[in-house]
Amino acid sequence: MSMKPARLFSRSSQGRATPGEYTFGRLHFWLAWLLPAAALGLTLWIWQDAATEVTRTANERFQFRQNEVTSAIHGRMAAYEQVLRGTLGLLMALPEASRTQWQEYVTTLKIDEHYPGLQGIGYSKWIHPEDKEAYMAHIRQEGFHEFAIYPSGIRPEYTSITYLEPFDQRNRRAFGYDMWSEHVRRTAMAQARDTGQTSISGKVTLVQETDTDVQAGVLMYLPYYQPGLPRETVEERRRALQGFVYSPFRMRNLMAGILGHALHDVKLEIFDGTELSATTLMYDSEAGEQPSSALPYKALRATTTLLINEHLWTVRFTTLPPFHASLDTYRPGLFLITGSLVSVLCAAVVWSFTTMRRRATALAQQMTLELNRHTEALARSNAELETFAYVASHDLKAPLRGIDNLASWIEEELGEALQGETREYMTLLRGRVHRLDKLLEDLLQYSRVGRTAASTELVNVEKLVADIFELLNTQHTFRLDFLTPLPTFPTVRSRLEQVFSNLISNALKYHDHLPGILQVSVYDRADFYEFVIADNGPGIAPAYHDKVFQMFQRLRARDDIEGSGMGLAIIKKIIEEQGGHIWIEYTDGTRGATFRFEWPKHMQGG
Amino acid sequence: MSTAQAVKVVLVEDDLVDVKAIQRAFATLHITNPLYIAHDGLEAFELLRGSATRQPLEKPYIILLDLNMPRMNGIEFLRALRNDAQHRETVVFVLTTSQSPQDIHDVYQWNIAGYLVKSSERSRFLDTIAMLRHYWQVVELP
Repeated sequence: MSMKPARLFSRSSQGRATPGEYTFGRLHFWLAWLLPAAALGLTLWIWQDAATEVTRTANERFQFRQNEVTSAIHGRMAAYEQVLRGTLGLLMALPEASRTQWQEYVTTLKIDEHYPGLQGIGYSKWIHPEDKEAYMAHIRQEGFHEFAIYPSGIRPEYTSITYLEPFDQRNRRAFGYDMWSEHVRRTAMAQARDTGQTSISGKVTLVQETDTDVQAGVLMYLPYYQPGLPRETVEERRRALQGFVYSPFRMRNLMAGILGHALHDVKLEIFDGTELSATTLMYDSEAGEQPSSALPYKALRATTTLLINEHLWTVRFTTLPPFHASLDTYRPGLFLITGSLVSVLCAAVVWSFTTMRRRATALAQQMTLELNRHTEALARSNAELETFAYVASHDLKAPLRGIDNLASWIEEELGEALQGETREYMTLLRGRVHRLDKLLEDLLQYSRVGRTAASTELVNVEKLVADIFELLNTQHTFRLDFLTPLPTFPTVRSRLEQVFSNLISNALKYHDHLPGILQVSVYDRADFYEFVIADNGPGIAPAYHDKVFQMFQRLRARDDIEGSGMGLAIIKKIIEEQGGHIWIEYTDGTRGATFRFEWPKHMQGG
Repeated sequence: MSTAQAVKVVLVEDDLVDVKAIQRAFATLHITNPLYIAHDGLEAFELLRGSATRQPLEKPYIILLDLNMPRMNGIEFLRALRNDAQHRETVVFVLTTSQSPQDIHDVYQWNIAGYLVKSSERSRFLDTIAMLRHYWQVVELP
């Protein structure tokens, strides 16, 4: 009976995985994709975190800027108020201060140096209508022949800018100007008069303004009351009012003075009051600046109100490109990009692995399918061979036996009548029949090699060889020597027996002269034993060392020594089926033949 | 020595040369028992049961059976024989070429008296036939 071929992946060969395999595969798949998903998740988290960080930093820095600016403005305005107070102090101390004294005072202050933005320090006298002419005459007497209060006209009250230092080109334009005549100024002046506190006017266009560099203007007023008069109530104050110590401010110069060049990353807009419009805009730090062609960004904007001397300014901050540029705003984007790249990479790796795995599995399935197909084909051919062997054994041998019988009967019948040539013919005939029979037998044997189930048993090889030798050495003309002790180990007895049997039988059969000596030895070659059988016979020429192992190969004439030529072929097949090798040791034509073969220490299958 | 009647030998064999071999062996051993030839199982049954032209074969007889035959081979013949109430007790020797252990095992399931392998060697063959003669001379047949 032939062995059933092993089937691998029997279920996969049908295209479907076993349930266990299926769930594992699926699980594995989803687990694998978890990695890039996690990477992406992490990326998004980091990105979001970085973005939040950036925003927070931006807001903080923005807030800081705002605080910087607003406190600077507050501080500076307070400082300027002090200057006015100082000037008021002068006036209180020297009510009759002359123009020159005033000049000197202001010059000493070095306002250009220390109080940038302060256009000047001046005094606006409160003039009752009845005193108007006298006042103007007084001023003209100082040398200003063209002096007049302007705008001209009749009004219930007048004020006039009497002093304004430094008395430069611009300030000279204000000389004699009645600020009370203008609504915005009047509001501030009235407030100062009535409260006794410093006041700031709304947005005005100063009379100092010419055509060039027109700026918004603001005026600060401090009321000057008649010393000695009560000034607790509004009424008292009005009665006591002598004039105003005041300062005009040109907004751009003022802010330049306050901010210096610090404000390059935030745009500052100052609006008069609470309304944010072009009319109320007093200062724009970016006015005249080219809008930056920087990358689009989301500007931060904040609005806050400043109360300066009871007057409301609305300040609007807007971030500029330099603000954002300094913010490492690229970081979140960078994290996102690199993180995404890493995630994509992970995904690509996972994808390629799963694809590889799928492909490998598919390949494996395909290969096992082919393997199964081949194994089936092999089994089929084995079965065919088995049938052939059986057929050869019976159906070929039967007529052969018949021929042999008939030949022998003819011989018997003829008896003495069979003479000379005819007798020889008959002998040859019988010989040929036997040869054919033996050939068939050997062929059968050859075909059966390796296909019979082999049982492993403990074999004493030395005893086995000795027994075989005993059996074959019937004439006792040979001697057997063991050059090394032969091992005892578990193996298939029948196969080893066949090999030794054939080799020893050959040695005995082909020997040319006595005494014949056989030498058997063994070498340990890790997984194999290497057995050596050497005889002192005629030897085999090197040219035939490979040929002798082929089927039906003989080196002697068929009628010289009987032999099917299959013996060595059969044992070679046996040995090679076990992963071993048989060969003849090289000789250079000298006598003696040495056969060496490898025999595994451990049988596979068994 | 068995009772009066000589034991008949029924040879169920299709190969003419093998038949001649038996005949020659009988001659050499001077066996005079009647030898009936059937070329296959069907012919053998005709012999045993009788036909339109002849009576059933009278006992005692033994059967020498070859396995490889056309139409009805040895095993089929044995099966049919053992199922035949009239003839199931017949002593059968299988005389065949097959040395296959499987064949031997299968055949013995049908209660054969012995499994004999045909040998080309003449002396051995003669010994086998002599043994058979000895058998039917000594053993009481049904």
